[in-house]
Amino acid sequence: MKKWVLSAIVYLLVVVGGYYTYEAVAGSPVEDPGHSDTEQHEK
Amino acid sequence: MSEKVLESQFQITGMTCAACATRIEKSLNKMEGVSEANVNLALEKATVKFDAAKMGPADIQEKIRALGYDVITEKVELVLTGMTCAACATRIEKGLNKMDGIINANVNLALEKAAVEYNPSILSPAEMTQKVEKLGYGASVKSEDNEKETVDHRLKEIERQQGKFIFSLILSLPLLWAMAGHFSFTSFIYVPDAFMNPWVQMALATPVQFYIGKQFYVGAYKALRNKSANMDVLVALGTSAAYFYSLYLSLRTIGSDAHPEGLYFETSAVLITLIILGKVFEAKAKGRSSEAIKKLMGLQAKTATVIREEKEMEIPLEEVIAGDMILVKPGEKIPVDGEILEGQSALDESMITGESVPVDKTVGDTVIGATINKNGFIKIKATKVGKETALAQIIKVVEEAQGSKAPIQRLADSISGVFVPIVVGIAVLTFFIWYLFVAPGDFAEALEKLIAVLVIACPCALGLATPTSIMAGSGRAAEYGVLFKGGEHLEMTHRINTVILDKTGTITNGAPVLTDVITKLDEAEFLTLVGSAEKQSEHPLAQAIVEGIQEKHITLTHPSAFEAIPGYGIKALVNGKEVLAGTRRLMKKFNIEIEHVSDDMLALEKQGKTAMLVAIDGAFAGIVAVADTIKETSTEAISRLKDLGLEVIMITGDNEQTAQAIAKLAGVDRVIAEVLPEGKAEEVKKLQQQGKKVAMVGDGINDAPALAVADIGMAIGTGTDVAMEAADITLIRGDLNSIADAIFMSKKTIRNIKQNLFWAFGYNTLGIPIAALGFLAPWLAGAAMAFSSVSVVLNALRLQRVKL
Repeated sequence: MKKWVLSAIVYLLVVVGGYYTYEAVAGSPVEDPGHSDTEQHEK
Repeated sequence: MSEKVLESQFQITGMTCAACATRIEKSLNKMEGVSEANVNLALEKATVKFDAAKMGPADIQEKIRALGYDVITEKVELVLTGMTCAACATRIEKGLNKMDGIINANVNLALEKAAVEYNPSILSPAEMTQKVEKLGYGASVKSEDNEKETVDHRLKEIERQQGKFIFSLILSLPLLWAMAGHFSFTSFIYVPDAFMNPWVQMALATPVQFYIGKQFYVGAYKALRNKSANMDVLVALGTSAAYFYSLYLSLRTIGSDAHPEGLYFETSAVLITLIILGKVFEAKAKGRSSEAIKKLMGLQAKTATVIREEKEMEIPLEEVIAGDMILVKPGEKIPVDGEILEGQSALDESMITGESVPVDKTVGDTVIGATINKNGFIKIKATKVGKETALAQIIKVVEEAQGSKAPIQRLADSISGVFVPIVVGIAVLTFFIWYLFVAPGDFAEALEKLIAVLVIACPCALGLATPTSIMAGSGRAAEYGVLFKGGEHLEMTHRINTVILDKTGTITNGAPVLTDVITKLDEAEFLTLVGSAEKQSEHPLAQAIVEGIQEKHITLTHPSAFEAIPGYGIKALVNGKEVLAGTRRLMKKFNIEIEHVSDDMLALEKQGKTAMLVAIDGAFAGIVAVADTIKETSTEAISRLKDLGLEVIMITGDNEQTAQAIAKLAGVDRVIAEVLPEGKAEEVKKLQQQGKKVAMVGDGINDAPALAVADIGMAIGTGTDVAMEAADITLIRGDLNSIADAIFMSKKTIRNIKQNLFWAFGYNTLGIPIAALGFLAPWLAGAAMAFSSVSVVLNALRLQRVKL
């Protein structure tokens, strides 16, 4: 069980860390990443 | 070639829904040589009847594996002795491989070991060692607890699914968070930038989709390869549609300033997470529903102290063979069925018979394996070992009942078989209706409805509805000493409206006992003379009289002369007095006046008793009467049956007068008397022709035809093996209250199955239009689907708490 929890957290940190690293290096924050339009989910 | 039909069971892994079970069943039934194949999803077991001349268990196993599933076999290592060359090894290998149930046997001469892969439902390691010994070599089982391995396997699977659930939950939560922040009424929720990024979302959803969700793709591939569809197809289709559509939208925005809209990464991830959660619950509940078997198996002793070559040794239970002398100390379990050779003790047989009072046993008495020796040292001779013991037979009957199908399940099976293709059709239709008419040109909207329909329609609850109830119901009944031999009997029993009870051994104890003593002499002196005279007789009635007198703690002496007069009675000389005991004809023969007691005689006979006249030194001295007594519980049990609205009929070969007397005492209103043994089945048929659903309850070999003909045959467990073989239900306790228990349990189980089917059908039939009309978000559909399976299993588990 620990193995699964640990690997999920590590993976999550790598992805989020990667995003912020890219943002810092590229220098242009990703604006309004737009997961989706609000209307879609409100329907 | 002559047909040799064998029945084998196979433990299957990899089935995910009823459609899988149906597919395997159909494929097996199509095999040449298979006469009947039955697959139970809840037990993950296939029961196959096949012609051994045309095929073997290995062929069936191969077929199941070719369909994309796996068969659990067990492996055992035998330690061999006495081999001198390669030819010996080949001989043992061939001998083992010829045995029914052995998948593969490999003998290693250098290591002096045989590695055997076998089907545990067909044979045991002890039978293999016996076979090797017959071939002229020595063999013993290398200790390996296969049962424990199976349990470990199941526990590992639950743990793995739990791990997968946690993993996908951790990755899905950020996606859910991002989604939650997008509703107007939740706009106050802070969502980190990272979670709003489509590539981050994709990075989080991808391992859930392809690593955790791999099992759905594999399952779907296997199903499609076999030209069928199951719930994996629906899950794989639904989540893939959400994932790939989102991926397409994300890729389309590369190199442009536009941002993707209508992403569904969270839908696919949350769906998979919820379905995995459902599987965790389901696996746990399935484990609990087979508890009855585990409890029964737990009753077995692990080891036995045997005496071989005049040495006491403790050996594993599997190595005990018929004929072994076994020592059982106070407090220990009797390891196998046997006969007492030395010693006496009280045995607690409650775990087998349900009888709470310990039974006194002495030399010559039979003992049942798994019962507890309470207070004395006894030496027994093993008569039945391994799969022959009473406990093993009970386990087998319960397993078979749990694995069998009730007719009501055929309906669910046939529906779930065609369900998936229909659902895919409805989903595609929904998509086009939305895309073309309801929201013209809105691909995302139409896709969302398609996903919701695919997901809500998974028929897993439908597949689980009946087998889980049958398992829980028959398991619970077994705990109360009612063994249903199959799901169909569990279903039929609640329809019974007429119960025919055999008299001797069913309503009564089946053995005559001393009931009345009428004398004007001193009773003790009278009984001493009668008992001592009858002691030499081998007649069952005489034995009943002697036992009855001995129970009164009267010491009997040895007659100095004894003569049995067949058809009349006996004449003996006891303490210098001439004792005559027997019928009226005996008294007449010796000119003894009995006119004055004819009223007493008639009164006794009206009560169904057999009266014996006694004369001492040429003068009438008194009467002793014996009768087959009614079981203590019979009257109450019969009144319970009447309260249930059932017509209770007693059937017997006795004359009308005796039968009426017993019936009156037992509270039975209708009697069919003077029926010849072969006439009982005819009487059952007559009642059936009147439109009645008849249950026949009996114990003897002569009841077997009637038990087989009746809609439900119930055998009293204390009776003969033949009766139990012919019956549909075995009442282990020998107490007629079990009849009402069986009917009650059947009613409860059928009601539970109907509830389950109602819920399962309800989920699917209501869920599909709701999803198609657009009232159900895909993630909600996933949650409802997971909940439906769990609720069905939990409802079935309620049967485990039924009190009789």
